Amino acid sequence: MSETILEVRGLHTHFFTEEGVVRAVDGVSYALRAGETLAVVGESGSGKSVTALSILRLVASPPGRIVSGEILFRGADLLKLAEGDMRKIRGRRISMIFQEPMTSLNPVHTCGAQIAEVVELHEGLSRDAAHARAIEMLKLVGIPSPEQRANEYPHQLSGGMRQRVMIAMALACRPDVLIADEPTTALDVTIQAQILELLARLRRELGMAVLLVTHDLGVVAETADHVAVMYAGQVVEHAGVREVFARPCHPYTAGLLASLPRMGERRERLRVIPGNVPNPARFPSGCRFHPRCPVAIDRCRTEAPEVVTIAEGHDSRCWRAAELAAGTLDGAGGTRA
Amino acid sequence: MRTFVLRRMLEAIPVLFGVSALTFLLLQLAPGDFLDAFAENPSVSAAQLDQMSRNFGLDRPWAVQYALYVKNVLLHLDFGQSFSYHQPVFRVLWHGMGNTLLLAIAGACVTWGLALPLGLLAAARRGTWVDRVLSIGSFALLSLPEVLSGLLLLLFAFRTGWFPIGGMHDLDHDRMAFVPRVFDTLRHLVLPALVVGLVPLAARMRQMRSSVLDVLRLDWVTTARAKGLSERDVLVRHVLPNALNPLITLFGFTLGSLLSGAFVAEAVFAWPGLGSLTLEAIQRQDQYLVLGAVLMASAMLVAGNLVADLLLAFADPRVRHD
Amino acid sequence: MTDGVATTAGLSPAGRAWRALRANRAGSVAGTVLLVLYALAALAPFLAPYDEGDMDRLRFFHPSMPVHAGGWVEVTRPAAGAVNAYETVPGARAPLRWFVKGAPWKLLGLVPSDRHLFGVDAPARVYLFGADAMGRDVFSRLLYGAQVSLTVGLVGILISFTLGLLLGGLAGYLGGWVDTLVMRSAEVFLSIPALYLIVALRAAFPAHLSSRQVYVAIVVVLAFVGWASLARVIRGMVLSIRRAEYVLAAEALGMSRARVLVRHILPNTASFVIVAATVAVPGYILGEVFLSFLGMGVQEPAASWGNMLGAARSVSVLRDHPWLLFAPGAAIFVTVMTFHVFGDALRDALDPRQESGGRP
Repeated sequence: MSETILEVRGLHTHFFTEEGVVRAVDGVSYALRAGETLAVVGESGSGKSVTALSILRLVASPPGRIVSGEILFRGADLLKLAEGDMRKIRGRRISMIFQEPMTSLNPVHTCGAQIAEVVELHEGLSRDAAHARAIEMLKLVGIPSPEQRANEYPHQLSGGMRQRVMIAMALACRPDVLIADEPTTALDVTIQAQILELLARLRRELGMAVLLVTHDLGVVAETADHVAVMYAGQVVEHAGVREVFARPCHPYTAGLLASLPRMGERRERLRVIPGNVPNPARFPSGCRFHPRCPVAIDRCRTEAPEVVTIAEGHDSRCWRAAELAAGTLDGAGGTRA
Repeated sequence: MRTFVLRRMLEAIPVLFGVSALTFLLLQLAPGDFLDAFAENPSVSAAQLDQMSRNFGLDRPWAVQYALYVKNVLLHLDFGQSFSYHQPVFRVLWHGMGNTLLLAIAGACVTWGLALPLGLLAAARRGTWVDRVLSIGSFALLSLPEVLSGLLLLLFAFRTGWFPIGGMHDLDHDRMAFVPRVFDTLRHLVLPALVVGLVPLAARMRQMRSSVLDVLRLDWVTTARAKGLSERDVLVRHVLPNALNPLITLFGFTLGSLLSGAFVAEAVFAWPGLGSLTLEAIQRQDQYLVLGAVLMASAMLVAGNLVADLLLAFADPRVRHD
Repeated sequence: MTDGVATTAGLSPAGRAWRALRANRAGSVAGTVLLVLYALAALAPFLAPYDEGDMDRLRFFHPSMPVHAGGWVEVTRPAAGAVNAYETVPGARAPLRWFVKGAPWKLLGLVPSDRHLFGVDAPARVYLFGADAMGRDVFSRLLYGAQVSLTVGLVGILISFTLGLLLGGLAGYLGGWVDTLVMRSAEVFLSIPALYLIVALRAAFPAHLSSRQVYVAIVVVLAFVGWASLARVIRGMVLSIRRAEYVLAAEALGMSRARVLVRHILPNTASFVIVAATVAVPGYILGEVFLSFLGMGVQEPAASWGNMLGAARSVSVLRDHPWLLFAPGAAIFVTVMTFHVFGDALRDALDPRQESGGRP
């Protein structure tokens, strides 16, 4: 088993708004191992993107602030770094790509220039050398006629091409960790598959670790080694990808899985978990999932569950985790067809 | 791109025709004419007056006068004779135009030179005391009209003796070497340029601030930060070029107020520009000179708008490649 | 936020805007200051101790006098052997008297009276803000000047915006040659820098006019300047409103086009127009100030803030008698600032979508 390269421990990121303190990230912990992919899964509003932004300390401040916790990169706490040292991490050791390729690239600079900027900054390359690297990177991410594309502006490219440019930019300095925040959500289905394939290939070739933030468990099954499921600012289940699919030990994970379309299964409509993600300014008492949970018991309404370890590397934040693990309880509410 | 420029230039022609016709009409409505002043002079005989009236075409109906005027402008680029200067209008106005242009450009430099960095600063330090001080200061400036700021600066120049109190040159300007000459003009330019530049500063700064704030919300700013760029580089390389685009359109819109501001500054500081010439010409009822001056001012405005359009097209790759 | 909506739900749009305006502290203060300013102008002849043309040939450029505790001012006389210099008469006091009889006047031109709020017994004089080159009381002239300077812009804007609203409305609603004609004319007006247009328009009137004629002339000049930009915006708004279903419904009911335009289309531009007008007022006031400053507007002995500023133009006045600049200058500054603050608050209350703009 490879070493842990990036670990988030007890992270709290809050937003101080006029309507009160929004605890978007409220005690999140997960670990990413070198060369592996960790998928962070959750509905929008679960705090998964804010956690990802917190790792690079890019949460807009004000109103956001990292209140407490540790982010250990190769054992050193990123939250304790001076801003100047943090900048040497961004784009060089840890890179990030975003959901919306249409707006994530600056419209007034050419694609090539935006890629070259990273290597000029971090590796001190000359303008020409950086441009050459940009073309090389464009080739690596599978963009045809890269010499020409390098001189084009983002608006001249399709969404999929733009996301490839984003990936090229993020990987130009060969980072140890790539954070991909919903990298395929805004793309067509066929393009989605291509981009995921590309990410998987690049991970193998470059040997980096990938933190994949997504709301789509389907994406997880194909690409991830480990999964952290987030709900209402907390990680509710953390396990290997096979474990999660075979034996979900949190009713929320079970619910997400139940809502996935399955091969060979005919259903009138997809099942979704009833209810909404709670307002992070006013979380429910007890377990935050209990208002939507089909198997909630009285204890869930009053007492917040602690993290329990079910097996080596399989954690769950549920009072009934043992029952779920033993298979005596169906987390999706016993109505699975 | 080229057809765009050509089309815009052709569109300007009927507008300038309209301007000339409107001004011509207004001058016709004005009672009396240039010769009234001569008529009161006992040494000028009635025959002489008749002669002059015929020379200047003042005895013809105004439609004929206007037709003659247009014909001369189009065929010979002849904007008529100035009655009071006894010179072709164009020659009289030429220097004034240059001086007004110099003043307007200097004023624009004051406005934009201050508004861009201050607006950027206010946005980057949003909500702090820096932002508040800038906002209050700009509001005070906004409420200080050119006539007033002009007189206050005149008082300032007078009390301190640091700046000349009017005009464009010292008396011995013509005997100076080139460098002192430029310096002399610049010294005379400072206060009028401040008058022109300070009033629009508040609005431009506010617009710059909100434009920067708009851009700061966008995704690519996060991308730029995620690259490891310093906040200064993010602002200068990524935010600034995008925040400037909406302001370039404004640049065109504000040319009119710039020329109006220059008009006031010229009147207060006796700056020998188009505005001063216009006032003088109106007082002397020097018909063709007024007409020429208003036309030139409008032409500058129209040309400025065209330049602003071109700048916008050039600055935004999304427009440039259409 | 949600609470605000709940309590204003039953109100008309105007009522809601009024609430929002009242809730805005800067806006309420500015509104009150404006009311005070206009009240001062209306009551000018009562509040001013002297008539605007009342000269004193012995007291040119008399500096301002402090009012001492107990309500008296010093009695002064020309200093021996010096020009425009004054010395106090030792021991002499001129007590301020309230509701004194003085020059006759009429309230708003109707109610006659000869009482003034305060004054001193002749031959002493009270110069709160000093005297001008003719020994006229600057304080009194400031109040009389407010009558012109504060109203001329308002009347000008009323006419200009009515023109702009109607022409823009017609252009947008009728389209065709009306649209072309109005928009081409607007373009011509917009292509002349505002002050060049103002002086050219002024030149169309005789140079020497009575003060009443000048007032009309300035109003007409200002009215011609502002209509074009407004017409352009209104046309755009009308173009989008005329496709609205309630307009089509009104047309289907057989209403005349004039009625549809005036009753159903133009009212929808009201909040924009009100805000735009308020924001534009300072520009119009300054139009009068500039014309009078140049000597093309209100003529002496009648007072306007513009010709008072014009009187402060010379270097010797600036050097020796700066109150002649500061008094009208402060009045203009306060008025312009107040209108800006009020306009901003009004925009927030009526039309939050509008960008904060500059001047005409």
